[in-house]
Amino acid sequence: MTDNSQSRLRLLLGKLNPLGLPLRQKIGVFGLAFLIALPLLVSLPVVGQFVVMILPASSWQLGLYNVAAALFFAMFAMSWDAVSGYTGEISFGHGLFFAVGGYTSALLNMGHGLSPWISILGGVLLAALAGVMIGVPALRIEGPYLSLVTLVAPLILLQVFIFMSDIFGGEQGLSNPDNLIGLGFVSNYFLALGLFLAIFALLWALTRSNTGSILTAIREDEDAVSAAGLSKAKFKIFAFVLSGAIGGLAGAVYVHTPVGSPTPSELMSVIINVEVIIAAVLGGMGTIVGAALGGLFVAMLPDYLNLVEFTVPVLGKSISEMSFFLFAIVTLFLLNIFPGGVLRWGIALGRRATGRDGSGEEGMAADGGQSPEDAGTNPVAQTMERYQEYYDNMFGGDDE
Amino acid sequence: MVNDGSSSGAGSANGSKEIGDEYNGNSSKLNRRRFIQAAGVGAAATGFAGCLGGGPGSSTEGIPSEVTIGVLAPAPENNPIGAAIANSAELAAKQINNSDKLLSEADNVKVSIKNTQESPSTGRQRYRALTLDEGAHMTTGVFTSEVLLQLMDPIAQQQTVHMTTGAASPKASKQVNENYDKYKYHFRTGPINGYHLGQNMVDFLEAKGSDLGWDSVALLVENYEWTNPVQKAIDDHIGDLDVDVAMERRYASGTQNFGPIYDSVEESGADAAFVAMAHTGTPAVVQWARDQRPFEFGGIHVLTQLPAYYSMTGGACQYTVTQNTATPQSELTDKTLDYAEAYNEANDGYPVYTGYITHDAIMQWANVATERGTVNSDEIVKGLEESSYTGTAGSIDYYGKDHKYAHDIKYNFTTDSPPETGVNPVFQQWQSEDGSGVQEVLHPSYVSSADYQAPPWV
Repeated sequence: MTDNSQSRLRLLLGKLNPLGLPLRQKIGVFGLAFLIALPLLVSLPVVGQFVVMILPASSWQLGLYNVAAALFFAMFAMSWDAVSGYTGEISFGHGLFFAVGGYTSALLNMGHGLSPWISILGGVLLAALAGVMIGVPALRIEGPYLSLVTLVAPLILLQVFIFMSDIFGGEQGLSNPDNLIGLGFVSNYFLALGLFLAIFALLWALTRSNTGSILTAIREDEDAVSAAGLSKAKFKIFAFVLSGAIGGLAGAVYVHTPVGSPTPSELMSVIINVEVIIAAVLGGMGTIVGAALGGLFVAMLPDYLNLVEFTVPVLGKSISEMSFFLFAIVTLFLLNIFPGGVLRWGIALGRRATGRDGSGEEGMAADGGQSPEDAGTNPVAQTMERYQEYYDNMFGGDDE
Repeated sequence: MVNDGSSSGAGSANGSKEIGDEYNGNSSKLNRRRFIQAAGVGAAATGFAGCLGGGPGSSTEGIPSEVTIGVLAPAPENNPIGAAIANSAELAAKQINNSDKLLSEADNVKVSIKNTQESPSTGRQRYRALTLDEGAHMTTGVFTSEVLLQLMDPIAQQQTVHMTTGAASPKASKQVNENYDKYKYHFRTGPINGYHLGQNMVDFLEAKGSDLGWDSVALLVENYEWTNPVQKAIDDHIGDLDVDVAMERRYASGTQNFGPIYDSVEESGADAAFVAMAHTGTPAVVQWARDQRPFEFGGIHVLTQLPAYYSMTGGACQYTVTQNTATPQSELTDKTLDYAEAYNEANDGYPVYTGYITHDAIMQWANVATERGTVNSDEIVKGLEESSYTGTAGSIDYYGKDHKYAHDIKYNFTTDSPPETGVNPVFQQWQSEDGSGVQEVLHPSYVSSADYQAPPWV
């Protein structure tokens, strides 16, 4: 082995060594290791009891099911972030993709006897096609106009489901299709975790590539993208198709597990559409990591609140009775405190604590190029600025 | 009285087909404890020991010292339908605990109430918490069909008797009929299923149509899945009557403006709008009363079944007629009014229909468990199939395994005579008494409490 190849190997090993990673990535690796080891940890004599206490359920079995459900929700949030977080085109109806994926796979499985492994592919393809159907109008209409299209699309789909309820089951949904890998608590947990990691890795790599930079540039300044000779149309459609396919994949696998089913409330209700946005914005819009963390938090917080038996003295109501109300209050509070997302705030805090706050060196944020402390350039602020321009034009604002 | 409402995994946690089959409920001998053990084995086989353990009463032989009844209700703290389910379960448990005859071997009958939030995913989560963590010996409740249909597989997997007391979709009983061994643990104590709800509307028209002067009707049905079996039954049977269907409209879901629809009803010359409404019910009633449309109004209107609906609509529902399981004015059996008054005393208000049904479900289960001397679900299934229990809503009997509505409560087809088997819903009219609303019963005649009052503007 030559010196050159040995030094390359050392470099590679150095990069893979968790101890050599930046603090935020060390925390990420630790979190990942915890998720992978979770089913083992709950079975240990003393540690297991402690771990069950921090799970969003009163037993390890249900805890694994609930975390699996939260992982699917995090995948939904990541699929939203891939298009809306990066291009700034806000989708108010991402449930369309989850529903197309989930219903297609369920119908192919139950109606035509296809194995879930094949029917899921069908769901992904149709969801990608739905991405084209939303992406193409995005070439002509932008900002709030496109948001309206995305808002209306799942409502239309729901009306189709109700109108053709003999096929789609209307407001009651479809019955349970076959499970992909049975009902095991551990196996379904690992199925969800595996898919979560695969989607996370794909989106993380894509958004950190040149493609991700172009999508971010579309959000920051579309004219600059065109001026550079790049087709913003091509990249916008790509983002919608990618996001649709991933949302469809998550929706399709979800309905083939014991934690999910093909019903409007689970895949395309207004609450789902809104919660996906809250999750991504709360975690950190345009970062993928933030959407994943926000998704886990938004999905599991109500489960935690439901476990609390404490009764509020004056109101005479228990915390679990008020879980949805408290969830909304906590979320609103966090969104106000951390408008750029909890992830950006955490990274900035970490840098200050470790004395690497960027003074004299270029700070690299999780989204691959922005200073976490520059609130004026965070994706939420940029998107709001874009929308403000559209509103000004719509209502005859002064052109300067 | 209605609402809107097979796993073939290749293996399990450890890839074992045998355990996978057990998970899928293919082994009828598998009880709930074995399910938990199977899950634990699944975990252990992958290298994880697994923490096993059933709930407080996981024994399925005999009557345990503590019996746990799991209740699934939508927002029981503020939804009147959910509150009626939860409060009636508490009342039933209290009555069983005070009884010398029912479950006397048990020191305590405990009720555990969980909120489904009308969401299938939450309903599944709460159901599993009840059966896996708390070791519920039976479960009851469930209002929306969307939740019930997604619970059918978990019920089959847990192999614990579940008695539905709100959701009316006949798809559940179809599953029992088509795959009895797997789904036999599901019973619908009420209401009667969606098809029979429609049949009952026609039977009401046959019995009372001429008295009410409804010689021609305009059928108005909201376009939701729950109305499909209702409308099918009406279409199947209304032709046998000497009643003219002047118009039939399945109007769009989410309709808020009933002006054009009511114009069409007026043009058709129908004596009454014969309706099936739940989601769109309030604007329909309010606009009918506000505009004083020249036709009468009745059928299935879910919201007018609520005892508080008169005050909620400012009296707009006066003169409307709707089907209901029971009202505080209907002495269907000698238990009906006793229950309604006991409920009123405990909760300072009368129950919605789901309350009567939930009380009946738990009392019937307790009777069967006492007779059989066990809470074992397979024994209880046999007991319930053979049981004929007189509850607050009538005689509670179930269709057998070969019937297309297997394990649904029997509907009494002789609608104007007290049933020997099965139940007979009532038709109530909101009437005004000293400025407040009363749910007076028009039909069946043996429980009738008042004569029909036509709207003064018609």
